[in-house]
Amino acid sequence: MKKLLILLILSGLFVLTACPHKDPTIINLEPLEEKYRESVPYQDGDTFVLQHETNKTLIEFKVWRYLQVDNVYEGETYYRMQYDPHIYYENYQQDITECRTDYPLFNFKLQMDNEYRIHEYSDSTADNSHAKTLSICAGNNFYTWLPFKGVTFGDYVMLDSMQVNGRTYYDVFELKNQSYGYEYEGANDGVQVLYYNYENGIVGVEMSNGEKFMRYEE
Amino acid sequence: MKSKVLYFMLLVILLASCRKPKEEILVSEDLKEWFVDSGNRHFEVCDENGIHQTFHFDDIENDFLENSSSLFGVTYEFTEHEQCGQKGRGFLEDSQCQLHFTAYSDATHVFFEFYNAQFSFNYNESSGIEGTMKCSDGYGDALYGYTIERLDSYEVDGKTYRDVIHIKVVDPDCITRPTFPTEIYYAKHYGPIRYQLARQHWLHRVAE
Repeated sequence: MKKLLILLILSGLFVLTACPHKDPTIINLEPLEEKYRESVPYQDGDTFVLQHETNKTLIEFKVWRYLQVDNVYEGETYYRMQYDPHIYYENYQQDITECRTDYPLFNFKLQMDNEYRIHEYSDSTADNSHAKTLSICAGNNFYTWLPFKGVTFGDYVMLDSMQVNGRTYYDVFELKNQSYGYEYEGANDGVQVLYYNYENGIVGVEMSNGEKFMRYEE
Repeated sequence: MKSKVLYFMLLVILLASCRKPKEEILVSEDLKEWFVDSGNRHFEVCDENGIHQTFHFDDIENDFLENSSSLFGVTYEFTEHEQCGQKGRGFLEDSQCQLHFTAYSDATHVFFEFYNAQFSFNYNESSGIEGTMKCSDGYGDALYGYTIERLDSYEVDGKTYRDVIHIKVVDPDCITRPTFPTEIYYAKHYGPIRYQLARQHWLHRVAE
């Protein structure tokens, strides 16, 4: 009986020592800087209107903007990095803007976070500006991104100005659909080009069937 | 003790010998005609303001749901229920359309989803639709009653479609979600040909 007990204790110790335990690395992220949040001009409760280019139908979008802070993981308020199970973010922030309409066509979602700080904390010499991106989704298939306001990188098409419904919009990004990984036929249906500037937000969209919806301001 | 073991072994042998051959329960070919044909899978819908959008349906996928009964570790009955499904989607994230059949020996379970409204019922070849006729909003637990009727034909945009199912929510006034489908016309081989969302927008399939 004694021998069995010793054997059990020894095997227990063996199991405990055989499994390496690594304490998680916790990175406390600084809040998303206000200057970057200005990349999205909308405030919670705003509205804006897009007009169908040919039949002039007006489509009103309502804006919901909110800051999502601290995801919970195993009872702790740390955001777990998906690609490294031993690193957690504290104070992970997501600035989310949803522009929704009752018209059954498409909605927008604009999103940015303070994850870019990871590059500044790490020893990586990689250019951390690449993480400073605002991502935009429109409808079922459209996904694109652009640099934060005040950050310059990448090869983007920017129009100096654009005339839309009697108003001039300056420094307008012409953003193409960058979604990939969809294997189904029809993945390229819907919004294909999105026009955006930091001052006014969404200036217009062009659909796969050629129809356009452009900003309308009275 | 020895006799007990012997009886047990005899029981196992008996069960093994009684094992029914594997049975496949298939979705009837008639029902499969409600899927969207390969030539009709990419189409345009148009609303009352003349705004167009595209709908696309995937290929039909089928699978088998295995079901077995066993006693003392010996399988004596083994069935495979065929499951067939097809998905479609439009511009909006929640515009997915899904038709799904699962065949059982007594009836086929039908699951139909459109703009996140989920309709499910059992279909029996002889008695037709049976079971509770309720649809639920995929965003919550709200349940709505609906009627379902079969039409020999229905005309949309100058084209006549044969074999059409007409689904209508009984009390659409209580629906607040702007993309909830309150009325759907669904044609055999073509899928949704005309539908209304939240009693506001009528959309129809554009005839080629």
